[in-house]
Amino acid sequence: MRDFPHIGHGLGLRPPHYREVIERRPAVDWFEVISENFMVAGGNPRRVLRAVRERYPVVLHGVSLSIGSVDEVDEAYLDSLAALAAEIEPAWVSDHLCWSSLGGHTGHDLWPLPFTEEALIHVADRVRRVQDRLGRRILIENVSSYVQFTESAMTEWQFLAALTERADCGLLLDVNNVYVSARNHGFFADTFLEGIPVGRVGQVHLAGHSDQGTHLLDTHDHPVCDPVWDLYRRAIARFGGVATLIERDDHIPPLGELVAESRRAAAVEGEVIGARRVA
Amino acid sequence: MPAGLRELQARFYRLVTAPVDVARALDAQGLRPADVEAMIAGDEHLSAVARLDVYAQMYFFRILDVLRDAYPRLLEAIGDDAFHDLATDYLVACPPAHFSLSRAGDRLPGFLASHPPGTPRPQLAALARLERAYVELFDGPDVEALTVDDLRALAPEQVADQSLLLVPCHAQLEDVLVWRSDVTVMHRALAGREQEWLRLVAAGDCTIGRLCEAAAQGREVTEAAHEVFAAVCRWAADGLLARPLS
Repeated sequence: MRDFPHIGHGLGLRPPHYREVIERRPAVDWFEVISENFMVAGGNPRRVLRAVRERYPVVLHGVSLSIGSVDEVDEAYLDSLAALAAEIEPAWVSDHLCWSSLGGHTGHDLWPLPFTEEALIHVADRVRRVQDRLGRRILIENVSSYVQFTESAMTEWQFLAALTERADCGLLLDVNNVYVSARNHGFFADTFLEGIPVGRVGQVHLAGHSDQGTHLLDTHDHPVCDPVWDLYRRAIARFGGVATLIERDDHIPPLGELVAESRRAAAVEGEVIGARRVA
Repeated sequence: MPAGLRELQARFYRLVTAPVDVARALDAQGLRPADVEAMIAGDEHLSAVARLDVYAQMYFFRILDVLRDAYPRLLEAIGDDAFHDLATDYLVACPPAHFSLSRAGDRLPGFLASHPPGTPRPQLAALARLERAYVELFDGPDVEALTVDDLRALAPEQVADQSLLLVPCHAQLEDVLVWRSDVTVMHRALAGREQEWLRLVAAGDCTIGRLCEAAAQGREVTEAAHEVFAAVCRWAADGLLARPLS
């Protein structure tokens, strides 16, 4: 996608790795940061972000836009995000298809939406408003979910496909989230992929999860598992090469292990694209 | 306005943020499991109530983790169980309102001042205020600091007119001063008349000369000036003074 070029294979920037990233410049194509952690006045976070940005492309990934909430869009939040984006000049800005606030209070979670026409109209309108405010198209990410609402009238992939059309936004395809939700709700992950328009995927997330016995939990505390790598392979076969990121938020290993996972993603993409060219 | 979505989010929010699990929250809110089943599909692996409870658990424990990280000495002072209970009560009274998770504990010191275990032990609220200041100052605004070399470079006739400004990242908590120097937050006890002098500086429009006059109070101004200049040099060495805008 024009607004979301393939900038390679990146990592989420996390505090245990700040110093190593700045001083040793590891072989990572780009870094994604959690926007809210840097929507602050100053101090070490902003200093680190500036230093990383001098060395790498950076993507801003938010968790608190609450695009699906029935609360008014938080203008102070948008002002702060817009100011950060103006300073950092990220490759793009993304957030999640979810809601996390109500009545002025926030749950700091990625709560799922019902897949209804009403919700679709509501979210599409808000995505357009956010894009207008930021002066750029954004990516919206599918979340892992543990509930399905009885009133949903369409599937998640139908909702996402319609949303990207109506709001003219891109999709951040989290392959692990597709896998987790597919297991939790009993649908085929490949059916999800087949329902997503090829031209709308601007970025891919890969992460680990934990098995709770009755359900999978999106914990980002493990390496990417083999079934998710397999699904990623099929995603690349469908969508082509897409900027791909390894996420880890807990039990964070040495940076070298994450760099190796990132290189594995690049290798998988190379194999799939190479095989497609031969065919 | 999306009325159906509003109703769904209100019900979801009330159940997920309740101070008990979803099954008990239903009882407390006069609802039945069937009310959740009408909203959420359950299956043979997980009931609708159990599925919603996944979110309820994540809501509480994610914020509890943040509070534990933000208030490590308070946690140490009261122990895991009491901290868990405090967090439960705090979240009911003061649900997070800021988009940043790191701000979820903003109101804990104030809450603790009027709730157990803080009420019989006021030192706990004071400890929480100190720990809160560390979080708040960590990513506050940057300014250029006034250095000891800047002070030494002043011509004698310029000393009295030198403006004194505190860096924005500071907090005076009774007799404890907390501030950020460069990117490091630190604190120390305030000694002698330093507490009073810092309040004068914090009030604004203060120069070394005005501080000397206030410090003299009937004494020889030269003697007071010596003490003030030593204090000002210490503040500059600490990184507590901002360079005035020229």
